[in-house]
Amino acid sequence: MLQKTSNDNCQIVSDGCCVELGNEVILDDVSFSIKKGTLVGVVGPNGGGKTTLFNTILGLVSITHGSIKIKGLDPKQTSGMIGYVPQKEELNWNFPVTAKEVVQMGITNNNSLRPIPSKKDHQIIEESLSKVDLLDRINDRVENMSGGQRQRVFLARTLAQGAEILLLDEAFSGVDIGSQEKLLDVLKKLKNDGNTVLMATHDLNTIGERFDEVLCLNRHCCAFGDPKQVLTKDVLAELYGSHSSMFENHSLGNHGHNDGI
Amino acid sequence: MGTMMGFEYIYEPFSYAFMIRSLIVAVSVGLMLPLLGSYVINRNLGFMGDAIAHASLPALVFGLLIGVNILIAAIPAAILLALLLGYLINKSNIGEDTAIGIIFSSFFALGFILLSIFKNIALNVEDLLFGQILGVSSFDVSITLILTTIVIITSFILYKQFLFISFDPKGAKVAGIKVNLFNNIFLVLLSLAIIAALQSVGIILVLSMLITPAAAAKLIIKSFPNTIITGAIFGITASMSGLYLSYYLDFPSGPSMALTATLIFIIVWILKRTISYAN
Repeated sequence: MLQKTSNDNCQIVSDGCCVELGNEVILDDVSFSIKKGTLVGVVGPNGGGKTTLFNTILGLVSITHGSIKIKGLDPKQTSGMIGYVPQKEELNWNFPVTAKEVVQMGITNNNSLRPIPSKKDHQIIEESLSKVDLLDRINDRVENMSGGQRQRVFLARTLAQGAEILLLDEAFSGVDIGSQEKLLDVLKKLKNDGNTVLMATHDLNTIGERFDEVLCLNRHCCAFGDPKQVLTKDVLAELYGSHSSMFENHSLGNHGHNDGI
Repeated sequence: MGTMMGFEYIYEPFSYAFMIRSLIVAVSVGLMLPLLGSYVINRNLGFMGDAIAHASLPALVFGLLIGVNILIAAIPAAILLALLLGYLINKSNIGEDTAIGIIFSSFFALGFILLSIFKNIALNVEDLLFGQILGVSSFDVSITLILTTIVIITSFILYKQFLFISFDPKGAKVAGIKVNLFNNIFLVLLSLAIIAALQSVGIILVLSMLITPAAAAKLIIKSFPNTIITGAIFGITASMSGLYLSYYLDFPSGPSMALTATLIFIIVWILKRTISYAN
């Protein structure tokens, strides 16, 4: 188990977190602590608990044992502090929203009673979109954008919201390599501005170059730390079982074949 | 009427006070239902709207029994019903359509059983099912205007929240929006609009005014706020046409409005196809 910490610099501290849904244990004794300004990749098999961990951090799922603290607070008290970039399937695309309308949602709260954005709102929306290099697409419909651009619009929404902790669920899925790199550039820029970023991903090939830390999750925390050090053969076996040999030495450009090709 | 020229056909009916009352109700209904309908069609809530209309029947009968205006009796009943449906959808594990279907059919059935028990109730069942806009009283007009004002102002000031919870309910919850509260407010507005429309469109055909004008608008308009506005224009056109058809041809108002709304939808669809072929 990783050491407990109450370090002020830690944005997210999970201490023996357990989550049960129905009678099934989805997260078992998960512990890690993530410092401010870190880019963290969350990896693991489907059903390994990545989405549940995100939902727990977001305060949408109750913790059975242990705790998760976000800047020292319980996840259910952090409403609005965490920005969430959803998967495409979670959204109702029947609504033909524009980039501007999506970013405006970031500054919408229970008491926003003006249907039309104020001058100040406009300024926040434009600043947020320009941080993700999409100011020129402000009036375009998000539905018609590429996968990577769509993710960046939702990132802009989290910025407008003023969130310091950003969660991205499978943000690379269905996104081509060029757009992935563009998205990553934006994430690195945001990280350098002091934001903490967690992204669920299946792409082990490039994880060493792309992320500061990796959290390996298969119902429990198999490993956490520098991806170049923690993604060992044993950890991969724990994550992906008998198929783990496919991933050996991936970060070295070797695709796991026995002859090293 | 045979001596009337052109425009006289349009304004002549309004020399009667009952036609002015009917006009106010027609415009209110034509505006209010498609306004909410734009959300309803995109959130697949059509069955819910139909259920609220049908399930209000026992409340209407009860209102007549105790001698109050049927709108007054139906308003609290429809609000309770909308909240009950909202609760069941969230909590039940039998599925949304199933929960709505059970409540819808059982309340509607209860209404007819009550009608058969209390045969002395002064109620024209056909008017209730298919609408009779020419028969609205001044009191009905006042209540319709109050309900319309509530629906329009509330949906205007809560536009951002309604859009957020409709497009991205999880994101809204994470951002601290009270998703259940705003969903319930929306369902209450929907039930108020449906009750206000019962006398003019009738229980059976409320759904057509809720859905068809909004669907026609969605065919040709890309932006969501403009879909709402266009849907309301189509809705008012349909409800006014229903009014004229009732007046001149003695058609029941609900079916007249429903068929005009469908006609608008077909024209818009053909125009859209023609233009896209031409390009």
